[in-house]
Amino acid sequence: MTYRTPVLISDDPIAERAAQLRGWKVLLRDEQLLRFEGLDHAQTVALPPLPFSIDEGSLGAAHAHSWDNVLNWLQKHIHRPMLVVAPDEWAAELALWAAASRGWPFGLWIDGAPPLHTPSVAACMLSAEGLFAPKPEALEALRKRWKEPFTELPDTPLVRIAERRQPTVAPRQEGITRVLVVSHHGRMPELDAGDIELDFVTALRHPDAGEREHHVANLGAPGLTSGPGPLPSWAAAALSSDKERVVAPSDHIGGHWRWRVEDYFDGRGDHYDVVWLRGEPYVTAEFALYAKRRWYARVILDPHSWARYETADEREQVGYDMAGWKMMADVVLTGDESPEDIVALIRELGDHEFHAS
Amino acid sequence: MTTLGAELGSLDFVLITPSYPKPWRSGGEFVRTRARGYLAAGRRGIVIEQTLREGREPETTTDGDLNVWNIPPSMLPAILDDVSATSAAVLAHSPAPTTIDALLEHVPAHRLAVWFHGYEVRDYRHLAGNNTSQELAAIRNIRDQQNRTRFAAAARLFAEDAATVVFISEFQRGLVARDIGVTPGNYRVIPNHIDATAFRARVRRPEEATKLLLLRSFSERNYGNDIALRALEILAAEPGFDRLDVTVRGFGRHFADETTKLRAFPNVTVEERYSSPIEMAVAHQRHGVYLCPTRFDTQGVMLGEAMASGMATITNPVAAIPEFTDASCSLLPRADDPWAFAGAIRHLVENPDLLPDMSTAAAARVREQCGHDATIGREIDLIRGLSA
Repeated sequence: MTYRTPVLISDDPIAERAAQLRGWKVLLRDEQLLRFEGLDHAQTVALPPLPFSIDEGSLGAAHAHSWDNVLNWLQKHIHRPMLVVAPDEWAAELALWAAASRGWPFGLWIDGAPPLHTPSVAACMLSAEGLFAPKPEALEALRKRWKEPFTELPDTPLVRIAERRQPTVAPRQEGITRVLVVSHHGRMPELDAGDIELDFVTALRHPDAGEREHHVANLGAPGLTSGPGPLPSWAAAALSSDKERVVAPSDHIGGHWRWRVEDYFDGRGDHYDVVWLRGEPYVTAEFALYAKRRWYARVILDPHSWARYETADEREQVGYDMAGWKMMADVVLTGDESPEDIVALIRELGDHEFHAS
Repeated sequence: MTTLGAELGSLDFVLITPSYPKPWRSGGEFVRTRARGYLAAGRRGIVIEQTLREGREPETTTDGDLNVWNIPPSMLPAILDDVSATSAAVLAHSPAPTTIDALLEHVPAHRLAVWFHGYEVRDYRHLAGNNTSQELAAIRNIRDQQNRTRFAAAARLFAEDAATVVFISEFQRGLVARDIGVTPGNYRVIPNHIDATAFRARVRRPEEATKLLLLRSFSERNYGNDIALRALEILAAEPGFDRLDVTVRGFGRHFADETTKLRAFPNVTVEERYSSPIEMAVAHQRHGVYLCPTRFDTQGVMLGEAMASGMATITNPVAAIPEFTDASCSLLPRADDPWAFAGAIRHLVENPDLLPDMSTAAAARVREQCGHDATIGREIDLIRGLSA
């Protein structure tokens, strides 16, 4: 458990006032400078060009170090800062980047129901520690449009961040088929088989999460990096490549999540015989590459897409991409399989025996 | 006419290839085997490779009795015009899209045969595992564009019924049809030649089941060496591993990393180097079992050469491999599975009496399926038809 100091970044006077009443720090924008409300006016830091946007090059070589400087300045003046930002304003991705590069938790202040359909806003909503809503009606409006669970940040000068335990590391086990189910915002499937052990990784924090449920935050495009400084060259190239495509992972909520999932499992010693990729294929399908390289796992692709592709170009792109994902997977489910079918399939895929003919 | 042009008048064939093997540069040995085979059968021809920098004049070298011309790629259309004025067959290997366009424009289709060996008409995503996720995300659009360009050029060629397209396996033909969506009207399936003279057969004895050889390129992951090495690491933790006598030899960007753990074992010899065909044949003779893991092969020439030498082989039944071996010649653990591969090695060590029969069957199968008559001989018939 740690305590964090909320730091509101907002130009909204109502939010500033409400935050100050809670004893939170407030950052004010003074032309191209940032300063703390109520502190020495000389304590300022230069702001790089706004907004903080990965798409617009904030983590390119020209500006990344200036943004590093902003976060370093915050850290110097505030004990364990926790940014509180509006999910649809200029600092939203800055909070996501602080989380990705430094592990800082963050909160959201909302003034009404934010535009939830954008991947960046959804990343903020899913990954925030809690919400700060100066106007009570904003929470009501949000509840009508946002079905995932959320909590409010406490009305205290410091916010307690509880340690969230992840499942214990589970190495390979003879006689047991270990399965990792990857789903950005689904629920853990239930399979009745003693010789099969399921792990589940999701971007949602379920209050009733089971013992083998891993939570990996969706940090949007900033999640392509895990340290300070500019984006790695591969990530910059990948984002640039996305912009040239008619349909791309970055168009989808959770489109960059798999990089966080790879990073998470890179740091652990789990083993999986079978990896079951569920949901929007632009979010999960290419985790197959990692699963095969890391664990020699067999991959089940279980695609469900709610996206609507209107133009012929979009449909052609999606058809081409789907053909590629099928090449990367061992089995593609149709959706008609029963739980018994899935169990039989997992047993077959998880069989490492050499069968002499 | 250029000096090269002057040489064209008396030829039966002109073989066009992106590059030709040199003493200092490996790759393309399958082209060399063919060209020398044609010459040995009395056909007159030259090789044209296209590795010369633009602006340079054509250069010529010899490989035995064979003249090898090196030209800048931009010079190809003019040379093809010269060739079309003769009766020589034009044999193109692994053509780039621009080469396909030049061939279609400058060579009468009934005198043209085009060989595809793999990457030239394959959706790169079949081998997506050759790259890490990060690498692939960074280069995706470039590769997608390559797919489009290659497939469009191949489709133009396939639509020309008079031109002959040669695939090296039935698997490759089917894959190309799926990837491109078009099947050539006029195609043949002729495997690469396996030189049974260089890879002389010797029936393996049961006691050679513990003498294992892994000899592969480590340049790409589709060769699957990591699978065999992980399998050996699994076996290293078991009693009896010290009975094995293992040689790992190869070269390429993954070699050092992949072999790190096995270097610690005194019964494992690790050699990072290229092997000439003669050196390969010698290594075959010194071992009983050839480990040939694979994630993708359009034929599996290395497997075929080991089989020709009479080695018992352990490989994976993926891509074209089932066309070129079966359970009577090879153990076939499922693909991309170190535990299954370790199981196959264990099976052979525990059942060494399998070796002589597997050895005999392998050597016979290769000679029948990829020997001179089934490969070079059929290609010479094809050349005769094209240059008639």
